Amino acid sequence: MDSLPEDLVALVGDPASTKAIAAMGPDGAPSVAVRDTLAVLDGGTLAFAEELDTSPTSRALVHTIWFGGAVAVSVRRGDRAFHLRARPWRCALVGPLFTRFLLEARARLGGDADIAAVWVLKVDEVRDDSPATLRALDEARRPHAGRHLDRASVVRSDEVADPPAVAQVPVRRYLARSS
Amino acid sequence: MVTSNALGPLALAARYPRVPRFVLLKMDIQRRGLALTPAALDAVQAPEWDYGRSYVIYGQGSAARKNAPGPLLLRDGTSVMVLAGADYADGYTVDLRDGAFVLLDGDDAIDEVEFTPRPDYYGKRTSRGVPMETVATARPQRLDINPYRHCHFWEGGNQCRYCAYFTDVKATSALADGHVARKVDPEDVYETVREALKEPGRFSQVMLTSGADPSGTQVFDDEVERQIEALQAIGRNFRGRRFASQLIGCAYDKHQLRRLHDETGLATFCPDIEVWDPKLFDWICPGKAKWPGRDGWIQSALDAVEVFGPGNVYTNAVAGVELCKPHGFATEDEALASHFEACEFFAKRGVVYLSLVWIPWRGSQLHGQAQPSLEFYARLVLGLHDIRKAHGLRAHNDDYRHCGNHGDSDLERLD
Repeated sequence: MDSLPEDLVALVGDPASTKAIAAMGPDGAPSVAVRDTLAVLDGGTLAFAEELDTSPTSRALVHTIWFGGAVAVSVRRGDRAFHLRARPWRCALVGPLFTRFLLEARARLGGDADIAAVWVLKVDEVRDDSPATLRALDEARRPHAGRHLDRASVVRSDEVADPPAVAQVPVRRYLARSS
Repeated sequence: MVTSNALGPLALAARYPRVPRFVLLKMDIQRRGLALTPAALDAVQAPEWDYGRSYVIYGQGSAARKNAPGPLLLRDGTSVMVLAGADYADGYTVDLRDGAFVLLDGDDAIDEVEFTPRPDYYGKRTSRGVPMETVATARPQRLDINPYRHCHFWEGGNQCRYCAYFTDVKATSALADGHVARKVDPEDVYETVREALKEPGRFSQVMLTSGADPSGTQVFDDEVERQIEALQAIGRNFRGRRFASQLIGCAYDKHQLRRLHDETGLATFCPDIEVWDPKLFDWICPGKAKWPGRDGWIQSALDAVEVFGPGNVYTNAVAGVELCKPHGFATEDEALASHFEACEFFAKRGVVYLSLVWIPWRGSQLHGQAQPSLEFYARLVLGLHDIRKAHGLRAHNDDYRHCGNHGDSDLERLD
């Protein structure tokens, strides 16, 4: 992508948003990690710092850049969210981008803070992942099919029984039986 | 140079799905070499890329003409140690296109690449007026220091047959206004490292290597003394006793190893075996065969494990040179078997055996000989990686981050 939506750029830049990277490791197992350092570079490019070469995320990114595939990025704050599909494009161990992220880490965490690399991701696809957007899409695609019939917006209010208290639902017993 | 390009990186990546294209590409660039187009060469004269005159002394005449860039960087973060513009007949090319460096194989664009940015200490001088880049050269994350730039094995023709090290001392010394002396002053080493460490996050290891010098009361005593001086000078920059470091040295005895361990902050030691087969070792490395002989080189590595601990001792093989004519192995299979035997032998004893791509440098006795196929290197790095992994060994201090010369340790990034 040549550029990212402005509201996505703003959300990535919001220190209060949650940013997570998911990738497939060399053993085929997925790993997901929150990366607060995720930032938008120019065009359709993101970057974030990895503290260790040996982290599951680092290994998954190396595996992906070596053997192909995509990573997923989730950015969310409150009811605003995006889901991105991206490719690991560069692993920077040296240079201005690396130095910028390292200095940011040290400004935040002190002089002993360290990073191993800055990973650059090229974004191929952006999806609005906000719950309201997904709900609207779902309802447009399959009207009536995605709702429980006892929902307040569906059932006549005089037919609704008082719901049980959450604490009364025997989840623990159910989990014990199923395990 | 003569290379066989029967199968290139892409075809081999399909045949050996555990060897990534980046590692194959790196080894093929090392094997076949690299040239810069005029546009790329002009671009690397810019301050951010300009590594200055080449003070890396490999006998390639690289110190002439325009300034050189630093090590090539692939997108996966690995570096490629190759001298751009050296004597390659069928090498890769780097061009500048739309403001980015692009690697070409013939007319085919292979990938975006970068060069290692120039470190901040380049261009500065020590208090004795010595250009700091003549004291230490920079890889992406490693400082390389040659405390002594003369190999005495060259005296009497005892140098390793593949070696072109230090053959350009006069030319590079002239470029550095005469500042490339045989022996580097330890104070210049101290000041250069101190200055280099001012650049945030730029270095995570210091590597020392010198020309071999068998002189002294015991063989290599004088060399060890110089290494200790340099390591102590470096160590003054750090709070703790040990610092991330590697010494590529000669076959020191246990007393010398103990001194290096006890009197300096050295973390890892690497006496390079170069060639495993006994007859080929004697033929290809006559100096090493004489001082103190193949058994002595092996014993030094094993003694070093006692001193530095398992996994903190390395030894390198110049992979492919064992196939050189007229006495080398006849087939790549025989050469591979020899490497795997060596790796198994050392791994059982806590020594990390790594491979380097053999480059028949101009200035070496083997210049002009044919190199093995890229497939040989693909099979080699897989085999070496698997043997070491089976023995629980990792090349932490000689990995993609610190060295960039070993396809087999690159594979450990997934382990």
